[in-house]
Formats: sequence, structure tokens, C-alpha cells
Amino acid sequence: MHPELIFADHIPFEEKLRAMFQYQTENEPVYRRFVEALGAFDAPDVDTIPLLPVEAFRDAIIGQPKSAEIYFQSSGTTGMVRSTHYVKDTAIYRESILKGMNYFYLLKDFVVLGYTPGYSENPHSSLIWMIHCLINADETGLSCFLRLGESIPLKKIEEIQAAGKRIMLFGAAFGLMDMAEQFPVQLPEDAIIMETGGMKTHRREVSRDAMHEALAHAFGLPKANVHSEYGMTELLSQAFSDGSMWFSAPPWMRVTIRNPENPLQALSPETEGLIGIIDLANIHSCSFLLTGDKGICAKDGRFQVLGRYEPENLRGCNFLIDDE
Amino acid sequence: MMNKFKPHTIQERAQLLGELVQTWLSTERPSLKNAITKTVEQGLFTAHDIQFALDHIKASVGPESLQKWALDKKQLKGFNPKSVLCLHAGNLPLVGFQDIIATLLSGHRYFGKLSRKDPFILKDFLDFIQEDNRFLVGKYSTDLTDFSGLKTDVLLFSGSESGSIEVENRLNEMEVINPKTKQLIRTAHASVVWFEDALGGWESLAESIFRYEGRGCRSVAVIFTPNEPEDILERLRIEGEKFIQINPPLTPVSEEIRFRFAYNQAIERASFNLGNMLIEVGNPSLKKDHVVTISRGSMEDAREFIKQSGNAVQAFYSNIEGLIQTEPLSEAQTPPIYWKPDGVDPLEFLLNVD
Repeated sequence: MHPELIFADHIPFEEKLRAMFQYQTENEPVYRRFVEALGAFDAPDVDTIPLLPVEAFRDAIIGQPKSAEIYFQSSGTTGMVRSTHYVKDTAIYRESILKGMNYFYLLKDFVVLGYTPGYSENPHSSLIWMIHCLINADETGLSCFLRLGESIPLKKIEEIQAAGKRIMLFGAAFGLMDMAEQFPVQLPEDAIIMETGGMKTHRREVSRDAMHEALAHAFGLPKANVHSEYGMTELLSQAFSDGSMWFSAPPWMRVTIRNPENPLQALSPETEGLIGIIDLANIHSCSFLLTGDKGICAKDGRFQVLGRYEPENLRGCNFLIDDE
Repeated sequence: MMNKFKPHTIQERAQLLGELVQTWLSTERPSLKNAITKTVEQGLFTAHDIQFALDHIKASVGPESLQKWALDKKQLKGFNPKSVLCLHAGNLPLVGFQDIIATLLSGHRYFGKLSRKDPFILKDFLDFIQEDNRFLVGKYSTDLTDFSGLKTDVLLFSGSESGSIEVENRLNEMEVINPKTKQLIRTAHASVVWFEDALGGWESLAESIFRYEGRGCRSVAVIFTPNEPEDILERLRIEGEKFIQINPPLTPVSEEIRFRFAYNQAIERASFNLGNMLIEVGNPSLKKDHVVTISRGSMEDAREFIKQSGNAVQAFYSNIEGLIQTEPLSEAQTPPIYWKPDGVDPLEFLLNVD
């Protein structure tokens, strides 16, 4: 499978999916063993293709460490085993980021302000790499990482406005919430806040809706201007929501909701289950992934993220009111 | 017609109830045979699991064991029988038998919401006791609505912590319970063993895992061992195969377990799938139904895991004979009648209900 095919508009998604499936069952040993153990080699489609649990990036080596240009690691505390994503070709990640953003936003209209630790301190964060990529792509030179623990300089806001650009304030949910509490500032009315998830903090846990409300209030924007990005270390593509709770994926990424009790089975729209993702940009690792997130899909393919999937422990003597 | 002896003290009830349990099991009662046959025919439990449960009751519930349980126990002054409703889960055959015995011993009146998964055998026992007419037995049924308006004084059941809230809400709505109802709720899910290869006990280990398809809260879900976990896994596979050959499981392997096994194959995690159980080497976890983990660890590691698991662990076994603060592994599926689910003696609890 040639990398150029990932983003090729003229080839139907199902066709690319089958080619990717064949390529990865031949070239990615972990995925091959998975498919072999399931005995699932028959021509797959979006709803039936075996999705490898994302923990595989933590429990095994996916991709080719020796030929990787870079590797990304999930965040975690000391002593925690982290997921590692070896990226053989950063050009594919760059293309996925820029094409993906441009699919949903006119990137040339925006200046990206990243409220995260800088790239040099965190070279193995896929999120920071992404923001770094967006900053570098801005020809005005106005995009930058902001200093943590400080307000957005008013001068910066004025410069961006003077250049006729819009602000896209990017950051993890907990960081943006801290900023909102400590350094609220009126942003121009056409600014967008892009939160990237991570709502669990050491201090509190809030719903996405409540967080959006708080961010909109702190930065003087309508709630519709608070958008979300859904991505993870294990993916090279991202989905976005435009202020509603519904996420949309770019054309080379598809989301299905799988039955937690039988992850080979896709669930019908509006049924809660595990979020499964097909990300063709993961050509050199694994494109077919089952997340640990709970979600639902709409008929048009958009999806909602409803938090972590935490199954009830029903083992043992357990009186169930409707079963017994 | 001769008047039957009516017990008045807990010790007298222990003697009589022990005799009745033995009589129920000793005589060739067609109704019991019929109950077993129907349970098997309807695919509710396997014949071997039912026989195992009945054999254990026969061996462990008699005058002597009940006297031992009743020893030093007294009823409160001015005792007045209360209504005790037991909600029976249907994960194992005869689950909740101990609650019935405790209720009858305590002198309170038993009410039972029987499980639709185990509707015949417990009913046969209760019919037998009711027919004898010397213990207080109220209504027993598989239909919860039969208990609407009961406003029972005491409620006994086992469930998950979140599920228990749902149960309580529903029972309140139906006025099966009211705010004054005393409750004994058990929430433990599974058990843990510390197992050292050189000390033997392989048959007991297999029994503790595969009996009842791992569905009991006394079933082992986590093994800690000082040995190579992969060595324990291989030997357990052999012992498990022997067990399964004699005691084939009722239910086929689930898609969830098949999927997890495939994942283990993918990441080269040592594991095997036997019956509908998955045994794997890995981090200890009680969360996945039908999954047993084997981890290298000291006795202290095991104790720390149990501590961190809060109320989820029912029992901690070891194959070291007589080790304090552990139960013998050989008793995992055959505990004495006076064992304490979730650390609470149900008889003691019932005797103290005022």
C-alpha cells in the first residue's frame, strides 16, 4: 500500500480499507497474530474488520522502532507503563494534521496559540507535535506556544486582529480550565477555543458540557466557539467537533461503535458501545483500533464521546433486579 | 396424631434443622429428583454442579455443624420474630442456602425471592420445611411482585455496589422494604489465592477456578505465586483439562473471551482458554468476568492487592496449611456452613436485629 493512497480522494474508502488490511496483516506482526487468532481473514468492511485494542501500543511493540523517525508516548505518572507509537514517516502525520484541519477549518485564516508545555520539553507528545506542526505551518509567524501560568498577552491579541486573522486557542482541557480560572480574558468574537480532552484533573472532574460553558464564559465567547479535538497517541488523525458534542472525522478516518461484549460486531446508530477507529494514516503501525472510550454514532457517521467505558463488575453472587 | 417437638431455643432449632436437612437429602424424595431433572433439562445448571452443591450441603449441614454455628449465640431478650426477605442470585445452584438456614435458625420468618435461574431445588427444600411446619416460613416465589407491600423488617442479598442502589430503589417503590428495613448487602465479587507450586493442591486450585464456571464469589479470579507464572499456567492447563473433562461447562466460550484470547495471542501474553474461562499471566485484576490472572508476587503483594480492591475480594486462600489470615484453598468451593460472606456472620446479624 502506497502512502499516497491514504489521502487519495478518488479511491473509495472501502477499497483503501481492504488494501490496508492486506498490507498490515502482511507487515504488522501484532495485528497479523490478532487476525489469525480470530480467524478473521475474510474480506472485511468497516463494520466487521477486527479492531485491535489500543492497549496493544502499551503491551507490545507496534510498528518499527529501528526505522522510526520519532516516537510518541502517552502521558502518565512515574512507574506507569506508557503506550508508545513509533512513527516511521512524520510527513504522513504532518499531512494528516494539515489536511484534517483544513477539512474542517480554513487554516490560513487562523493563528494557533498553544497553551501546553512547549515542544522542546515534550518531543514525544503527539498533541504537542501536532500544535508545533500547526504553528510552523503559519506563514505569518504569529502562531506560537503561550507561556504557561500567564495570561494571553493583549498585545498578541491585537497583533492577530491587526493581521486580519482569527485566534485558535489550543490546549488540553485541564490546562485551559486552569487558564480560564486564573487568567480570564476577552477574546475576539470570532476566536475558537480548541480543547483536546483530558477532563480528569488532579483537582476535579467535570463534564465536557460544563467545561465548555466555563471556557466560553471565561473568554467572553459564545459556547458554540468552544470546539473539541478527539485524538490520541495511538492515532495520526483527529476528529473535531464544532461546538456541539458531535465529532466528525476526516475522509481517511472512520468511526464505528462496537459491542463491548463482542467487539467484532458494530452496533447500530444511537446505541452506546466502544469507540472503534479506522485511521488510514496509521499505515506503518496499525490502522484498526478499538479504544477504551464509550460513545455513540449518528446515522451520518458523526459520533459522541461519552467518557471511559467502565463495565460493571458482575462477577460473583449478584442479584440483578431485571434478570433474576 | 402425635404432637411434633417444637424448638424454642436456637440450639434446639440447630439440632432439628440439621436433622431436617439430612432427611431432605437422604430420602429418595421424588420431588427433589424432579427439581434436579427440571433444572438440568431447562439448561439452568449442569448435573455435576448441582450434585456437587447438594453433596456439599449433605456433608456440611447437619446437627453437629449447626450446633457449632449456634454455639454461644443467644436471642435478644423479648425476641419477636421479624420478617426476613432473602433475594437469591442465580449464579450458582442453591446460592443463598446459608441465608435460609441462618434465618430459620434465628427464629425469624423467612421470605424468599427465588432466582428464575434456580427456581426448583431451593423451592423443594422450602416446601419440605414448610410441610414440616416447625419453622417460620413465609412466601417464596420467583416473582418479585409477590412481595409488594411486604415492608419486610430485614433484607439480605448480594449485588454490585451500583446494582444494589437500583435494587433498593425498586424495592422501595414496590414497598417491599421501607426506611426501617435492616439490610445486609454483600458486594464481594471474587477471591484471591497465594499459591506455591511445591506445596501441591493442584486439584483444589482447578476446582476453585473452574467449578461453577468461575461464577461464585468464592471462585478464584487472581493467583499470586512466587514461582514462574508461565509454569503455573502450564500446569493449571493440565489440571483444568482434567477438571473440564469430568465437569464440562454449560455455556460456550463468549465472544468477549474469544476476543481477549486473540488479543493475548497478538501481544504474546501467555494464556489459555478452557471452557468459557480465560487464564492469563498478567497484572492482577478482578474486573473481567471469566478471566483469571496469574501474577508473580509475595504474600505481601497479595495482601496489598486485596487491600486496594476494597470490598471486592470475598476470600483469600493459600495452599499453606494453617496459615493465619487465609482460608484453605481446599475449602474454596466447600466452605463450612458458618463461613462469613463479606466478613459478616449472617446468623449473628439476624440475632441482633431488634
